Amino acid sequence: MCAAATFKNQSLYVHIPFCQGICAYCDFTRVRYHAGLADQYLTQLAGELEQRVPRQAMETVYIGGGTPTALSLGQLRRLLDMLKPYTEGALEVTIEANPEAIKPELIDILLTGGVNRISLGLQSCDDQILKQIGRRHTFDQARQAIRLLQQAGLTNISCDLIYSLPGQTREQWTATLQGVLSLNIPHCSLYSLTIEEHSEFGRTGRQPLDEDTEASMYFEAVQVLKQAGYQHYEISNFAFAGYASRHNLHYWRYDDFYGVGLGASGKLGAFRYDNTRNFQDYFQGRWIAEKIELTREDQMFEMVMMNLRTAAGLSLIEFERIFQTPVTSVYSEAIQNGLRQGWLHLDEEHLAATDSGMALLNTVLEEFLD
Amino acid sequence: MDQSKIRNFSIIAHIDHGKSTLADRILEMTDTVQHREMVDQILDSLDLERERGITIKLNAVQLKYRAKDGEEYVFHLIDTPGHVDFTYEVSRSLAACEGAVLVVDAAQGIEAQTLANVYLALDNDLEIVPVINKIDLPSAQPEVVKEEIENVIGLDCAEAPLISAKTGLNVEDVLEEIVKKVPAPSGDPNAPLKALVFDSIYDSYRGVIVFVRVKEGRIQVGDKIRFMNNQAEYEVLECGVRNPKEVKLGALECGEVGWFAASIKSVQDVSVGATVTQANNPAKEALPGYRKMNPMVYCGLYPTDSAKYNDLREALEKLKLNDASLQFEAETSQALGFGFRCGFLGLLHMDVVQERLEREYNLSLIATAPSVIYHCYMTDGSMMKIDNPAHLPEVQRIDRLEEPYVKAGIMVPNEYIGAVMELCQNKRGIYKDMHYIDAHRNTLEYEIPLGEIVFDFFDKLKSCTKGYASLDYEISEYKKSDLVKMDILLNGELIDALSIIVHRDFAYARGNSITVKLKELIPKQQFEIPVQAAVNGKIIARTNIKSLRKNVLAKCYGGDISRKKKLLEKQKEGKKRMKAVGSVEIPQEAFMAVLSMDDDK
Repeated sequence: MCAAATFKNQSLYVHIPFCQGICAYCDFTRVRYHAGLADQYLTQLAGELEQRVPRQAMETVYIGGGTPTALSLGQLRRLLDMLKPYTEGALEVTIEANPEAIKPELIDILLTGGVNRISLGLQSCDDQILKQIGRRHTFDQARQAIRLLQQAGLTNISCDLIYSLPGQTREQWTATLQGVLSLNIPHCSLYSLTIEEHSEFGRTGRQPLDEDTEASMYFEAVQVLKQAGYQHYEISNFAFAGYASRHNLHYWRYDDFYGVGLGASGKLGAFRYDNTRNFQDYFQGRWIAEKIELTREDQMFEMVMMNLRTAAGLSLIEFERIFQTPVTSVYSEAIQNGLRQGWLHLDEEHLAATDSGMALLNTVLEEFLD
Repeated sequence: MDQSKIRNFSIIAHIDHGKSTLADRILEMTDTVQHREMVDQILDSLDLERERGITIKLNAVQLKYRAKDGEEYVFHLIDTPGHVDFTYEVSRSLAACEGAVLVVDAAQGIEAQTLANVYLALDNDLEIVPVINKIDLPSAQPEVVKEEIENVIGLDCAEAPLISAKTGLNVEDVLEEIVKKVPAPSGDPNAPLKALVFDSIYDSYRGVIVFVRVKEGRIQVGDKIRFMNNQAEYEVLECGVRNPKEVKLGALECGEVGWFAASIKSVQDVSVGATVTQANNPAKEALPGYRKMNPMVYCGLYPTDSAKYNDLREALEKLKLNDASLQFEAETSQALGFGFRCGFLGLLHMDVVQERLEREYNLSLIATAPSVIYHCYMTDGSMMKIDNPAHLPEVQRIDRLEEPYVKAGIMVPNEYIGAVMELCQNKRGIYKDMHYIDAHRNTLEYEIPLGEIVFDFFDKLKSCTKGYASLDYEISEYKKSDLVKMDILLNGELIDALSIIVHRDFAYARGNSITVKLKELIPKQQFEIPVQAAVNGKIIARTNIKSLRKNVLAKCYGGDISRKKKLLEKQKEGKKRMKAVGSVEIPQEAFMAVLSMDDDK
């Protein structure tokens, strides 16, 4: 292990593996909500937190799923209470939620529990599409939900959107982008559909759109959102100034983070761990399924891989601080080639992907693999 | 040894009709191989043979059988390869026998390949023992099949054993029939030595092991022998039989089948069909039928990684030690760099060699589409043999081109005759004849350019007859054809390894389907790539591979890091299997794209 490799650790991810219904594109660790199971799960989660995460205030906490708002209000209150030692004083506490769950009582519980950022599963502004992919809300419901949140002072809202869905037209995507602009929210994330083997789409053999249409949709979104004042700060993420997700930036900077709950992952120095995806194991306290030791080479590559996703890019100083060697000498050939191709940009402080490099990041990163 | 107690025979059968299984049962029943030592299909010693259910290299086994008449007989079972590529080798191993067991599947009846081998056996004056196999199958129709054999071959099947090689049912009857029907050898033990070479293998310690049938005289250790085709002389150091383990003996007697070793350095020196005699008491003339084998199909083999050129050469050299019919010589391609032009007896032979190179020698190869040898008559009256389409001289210097034709016999059920005739027509076939086999089947005879056979003829035949047709062919003659060279250009650059020779009337359709196919096979790259087909410098077809605009994973958060890295590694691995030609990365399959064409599309 590399003694010099010390990463910052100020974030905690908490996974809630319950949903009211299962969406067609999803292969995350999730099950249909069951009250008794959820009670038992929260008890176990409390145990895992206590044993595995030092009781200290985090800079960021992220409660994801699944759908955390699938929990009952009482369970949600219990969850936020148990997270208090970590959320108190935190700069950013995010919870994922579905639009149909947003009610005044819920908002109260979230605000009391220290939540200051909401990530909404909007997915599309087209009711037809929402129905096809198994969502349980309409665009109008989402608009109402956002209004409620904003009225309650919870204005740091992000929306997730999916494009390149089977059968989706360019026009539908343009309309969804316009719909998002009308919501006046400070952050959104756009994901092109990947058909996962274990999702309903995967099982039923659905195909995403062709690569060329997908690329067009992506470039359109980048243009429309930038024009509306959003900063394209990560490949799939857009935010008004000051509203970039602090928690996710920790991942992209390759900082350490704690992860608790079914199927969660964490990183501590040279180790990454993956929690079990099996309820039985989890309930019996066998939280961690796998602990992977990362070589120095793994860590260097992964740090580059994650940082190049961001507009800011990789901090040369940070890389050298951690690995005691400049990134430009470790990857001189890949960097030279990337610069030549116009994929990369290098100044005194950062190595970053250009617009074209960001769109072709897989190709760019290949050069960094031995 | 008493010649009258020797029986030398082969088994003739279509693939899947149970030849190897019957051989296994015979080995068991003669206690040659103990049950516990039994590996299924013991004669097929190469892994590949066992996997594909085909026999590529020959083998000969000595068995002892106590017959119902109380006498002990010595059997020599000579295995034969069951594929059209190896017809000559089959004919030589048949020439080493006095009889052949004809195995016919009770459910499927006679196939074209079987028939071809039966005729080879009859040409060699062999006594044929018909056997109906797989009678345990519910669909077995032994009486129908017997009648078919009587009609088509004219063999009396009244006493043909009805067996199941799988269960062993009635296999003993086969052994008794062999004793009764197959004649004993009749050579003169006192005449000068004449031994027929029907196979050889290379052993790294002892040199070439030569498999022979002693027709006249005898061979013993210490003899000075001579190969009558090339006058090469050697001293016999060891000889013996196989049972199937090697057994060393002092001598091989007249009528016996066995092996000898004589420190022969390469299989090249030992030709199947050659006659071995004594150097100091030579026979007056060699046994009849010796022919030098020439490859029929050629393709270029290149290492994907050009640094592996020497590894490929060494691997080819090693394979050639055991396979005299494999030919290769170094060639260079502008697109693929250094590689070899290799000659094969046929498509199966080509496939087998490629697979062995990849599997046994761990090489990653790019194979160009197979080509036949074209005869190119020049305006100055000379003739060039062209085994690589890229080497065809410019049109102005060519007077005419000739290509090899085959005489093809296709056995086909009545309902598919129309479909097969249409296929043959599309493949430029010339109709010759049609024979009646029985109420349900006919044999169609066509002359077809070999170049069309090596394209997708087999696949097409299979699909248009639901697999019910069978094909046999032999090379007939060269004929003049209106042929042109078609070049493929990627990004404006001529890729010599993709050039093919094609009939002028088909050039447009083929150009179209190849360019479309290449568009599917070549992954998008950072720039747009035009794919063009050209004849004599004129573009006849064109597609475009659009440029890669986006290649990035949408999502990557804390938990996705490992998975994402694995994806990148996989992507990189895929690239390694591609060949960079100029600025374009081309996957291996693309070089075979010219083969999988759907002209009908």
